[in-house]
Amino acid sequence: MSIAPTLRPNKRYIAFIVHTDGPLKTREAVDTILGEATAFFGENLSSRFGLWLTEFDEEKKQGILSCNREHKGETIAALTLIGAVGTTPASFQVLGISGTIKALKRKFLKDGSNMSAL
Amino acid sequence: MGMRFLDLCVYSKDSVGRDTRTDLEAFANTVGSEIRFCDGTGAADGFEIVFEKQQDLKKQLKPSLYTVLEPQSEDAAAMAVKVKHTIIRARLNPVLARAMAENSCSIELSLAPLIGTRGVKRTRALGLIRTNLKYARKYGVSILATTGAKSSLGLRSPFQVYELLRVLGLTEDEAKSAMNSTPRNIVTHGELMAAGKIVSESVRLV
Repeated sequence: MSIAPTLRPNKRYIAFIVHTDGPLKTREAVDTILGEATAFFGENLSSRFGLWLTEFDEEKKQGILSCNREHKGETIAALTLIGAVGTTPASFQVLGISGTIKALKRKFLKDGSNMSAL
Repeated sequence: MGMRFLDLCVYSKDSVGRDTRTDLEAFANTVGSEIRFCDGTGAADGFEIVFEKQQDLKKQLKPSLYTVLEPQSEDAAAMAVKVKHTIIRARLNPVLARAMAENSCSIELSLAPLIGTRGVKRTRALGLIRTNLKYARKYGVSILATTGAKSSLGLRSPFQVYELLRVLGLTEDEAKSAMNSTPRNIVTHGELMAAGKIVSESVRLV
């Protein structure tokens, strides 16, 4: 049985780019984001964010992260606090936020990104 | 996203930083924030003084666009808050906060101890921010948000800094003021002082 559209949690899609030297695997990006959210906000609160890496381009190091609308601020704060991926210094720059992936790509990822759906 | 951030505490290779000024400025441009260097090398720079004794402060004080004071002891902190229009990096208490408000000093809310750290170090940094925020609100001390970046990867975009400040407990107005109006006021005051347009406190030549 599916949930009625009006009862579904509203999502926000966050486009981001990772600034770091060297390659970055999707798995590493996921672990870093979830690890930072859990470390800063705790397991209980971060579980409510509904974090999901929707798409990620390993070449361009760009991705789309989805979260619950109510926890958009906390998600961005978690991305801001990331200082390294593993032991490599890194920073996550938020490019933009939107309610749909289509609008997000149109506004913030114009240059035909090569992102694969996970 | 319509938000502005003037970061007054960025360190280049000229002081303790790892990247050149050009690299840092280019990256700041990429993320959309404005930066000022706290290297103390030029007239357009801020100047940072870390000191433990009163004599050290007197020796090191020099004219600059703005001055960041980092006292290493309680006596040093009591000395630091007497210098007008400075940025103070210390743990506030009611006495210091009242003196800072009287001398138009600002308290620095640095994001550097939070970025890329974990555990006890981050917990202490959060505790410091909470304490400073409490006294700054009570005594009307202006809050200044900085990244304290020593490399380009330490810089953050205005929108991200805003969201982080909101999570740390600042209100919308406090966050915007800490990011934009407070640093701009500090820089403007420094420029007017340098141009000789402020001859003494509260007297400004127009």
